[in-house]
Amino acid sequence: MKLHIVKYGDPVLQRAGDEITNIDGELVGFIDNMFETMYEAHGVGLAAPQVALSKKLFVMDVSSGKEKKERITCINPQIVETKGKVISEEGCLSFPGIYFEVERPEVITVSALDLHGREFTFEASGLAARCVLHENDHINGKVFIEYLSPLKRELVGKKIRKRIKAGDWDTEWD
Amino acid sequence: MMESVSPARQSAFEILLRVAVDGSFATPLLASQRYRNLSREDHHLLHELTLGVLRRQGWLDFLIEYFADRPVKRLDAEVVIALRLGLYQLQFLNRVPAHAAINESVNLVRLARKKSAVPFTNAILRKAQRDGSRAELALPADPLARLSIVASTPRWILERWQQRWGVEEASALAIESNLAPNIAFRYNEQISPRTTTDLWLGENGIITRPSVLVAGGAVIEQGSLSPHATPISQNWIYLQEESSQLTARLAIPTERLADASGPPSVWDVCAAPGGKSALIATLLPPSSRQVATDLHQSRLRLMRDLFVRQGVENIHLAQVDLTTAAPFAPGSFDQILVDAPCSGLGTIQKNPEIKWRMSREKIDELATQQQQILERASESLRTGGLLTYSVCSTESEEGEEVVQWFRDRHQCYRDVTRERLVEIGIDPASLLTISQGARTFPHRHHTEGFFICVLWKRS
Repeated sequence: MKLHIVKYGDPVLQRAGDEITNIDGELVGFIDNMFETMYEAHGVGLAAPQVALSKKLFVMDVSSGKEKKERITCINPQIVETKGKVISEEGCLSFPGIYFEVERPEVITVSALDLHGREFTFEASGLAARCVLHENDHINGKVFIEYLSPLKRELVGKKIRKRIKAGDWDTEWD
Repeated sequence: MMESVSPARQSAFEILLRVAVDGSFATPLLASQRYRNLSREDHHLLHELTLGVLRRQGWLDFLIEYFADRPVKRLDAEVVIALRLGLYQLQFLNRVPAHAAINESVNLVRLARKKSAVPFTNAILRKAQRDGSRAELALPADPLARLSIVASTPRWILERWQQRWGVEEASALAIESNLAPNIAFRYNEQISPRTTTDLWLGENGIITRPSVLVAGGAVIEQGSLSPHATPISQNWIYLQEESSQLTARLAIPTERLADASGPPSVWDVCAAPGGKSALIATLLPPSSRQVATDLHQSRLRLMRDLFVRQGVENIHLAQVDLTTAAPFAPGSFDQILVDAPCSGLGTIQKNPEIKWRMSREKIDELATQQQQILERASESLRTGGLLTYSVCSTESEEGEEVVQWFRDRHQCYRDVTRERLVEIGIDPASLLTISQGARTFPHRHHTEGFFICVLWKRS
């Protein structure tokens, strides 16, 4: 089932998610729906708060569904180590049509729980590292415009307000 | 997180740039390994965007020039292609939200490292979104100039079509040529009985109709088949234009084989990619001698692969350049098929880039080459044999005129196209005879525009 992706402005995006204590069938089904939603929206990563679930959970697939082994589910993740710096452009499913460059670590080590509650650790670089960091921010209540300078942030804010006014942004949230 | 341009648009941009810059053709690029991993939905969008932009290029460039107030020629190729892609989505794809169409084109320009053109691209697309319909007021009053823009067909092509068949036919042909082509196939009954194939297609929601032009052929009316679908991967069917199937069947008088003294010998002169020879192999008795030649070694390899896949391995292959010498002794063959290299102006539904690349001069060059190939190939035909000439071109220089030139030099050839059509169970009236042979047109027959002529060499 496809889930509704909340857009910037929804308070759930600004809250740190809760740790997950119980991985049950309901959660596993929800994760399936998150993948479906992400693929449908042409995303490479989707965090639980973006579908209104305030928990420490995200899914990603930097191959956009082309390679099954690229499907990754991270529960209660921790960034263990970061190396280097790299600037690259990114976008966010909660900010449709907004893209800009963000500086982030180049190589990272992540540890998290998988669907069976087992801990696993992996190293990521390039798009995968960027994606983990972007989603990890979401589950800690941080969105990518917070990396912008105040001036640029104001410009992006203006663009979004204009889109909201034009009915071209999602305004279904309370 | 999102990558800044969706994979379908990124891929369409890449292909369109190659088509524009290094003269590649879009259809083979779309089928290449590089794009095979896209999701089904993305692949569909990629096709629609790439071919749609090439089909509507004339109209899209008119919009660019109207809103940018400068000629397309003076813009960078990357910027033009991103603009065409954006405008195509705004004008022809209702399901794509306008902001997605605009933003992704702007990002394509940015990713192509044309940062200075980013605000320009954004401005043009926003203007087009706001007052897209205003551009229509700027269309020229002259009917042909107007049609050339609206139907995205170069004026010189429309002028020839109009001179030949009148303005209404020319306009119908140009408009129909902008639609996606029908997908046709032939049943491989040696591998799977027709009923089994039809059952599979029906169960998978694919609606077909039998071809009206050729026995054993069908056209897909609804639904689409991926290359991995069972009927294709298991060779139950072979995707092949109706014109190509018809040419193969007309060239081989199987109905008369029983009366012949021995098994026939057949030469398919410009045989690659091999679809016609593969079909001919299924029509001939096993003891026949069948030769397939082509100018290019690389194309011979592709053809060999096809024959292996289709289980028709009893065909001799050879590389032959007919512009230099005839490779076989006089009178070596009972039937010779010359499906000559041509402008391809009858295939613009499938290869829309052709209309932007072709020129009068190239057509004349091709016609000279076609005469030469037909002349050389005919030397190897025995008296009483059949010589079939075909081109997938709407232009008479490459069709009727080549045959006329040839017959003026060789009085012993008689045009038996209509008799052959009757023999294979096709009503000759369903095709159009202008002066020689027979023709089909996209707007009349809903298949590619081709010319075919079967000549009988009398004693």
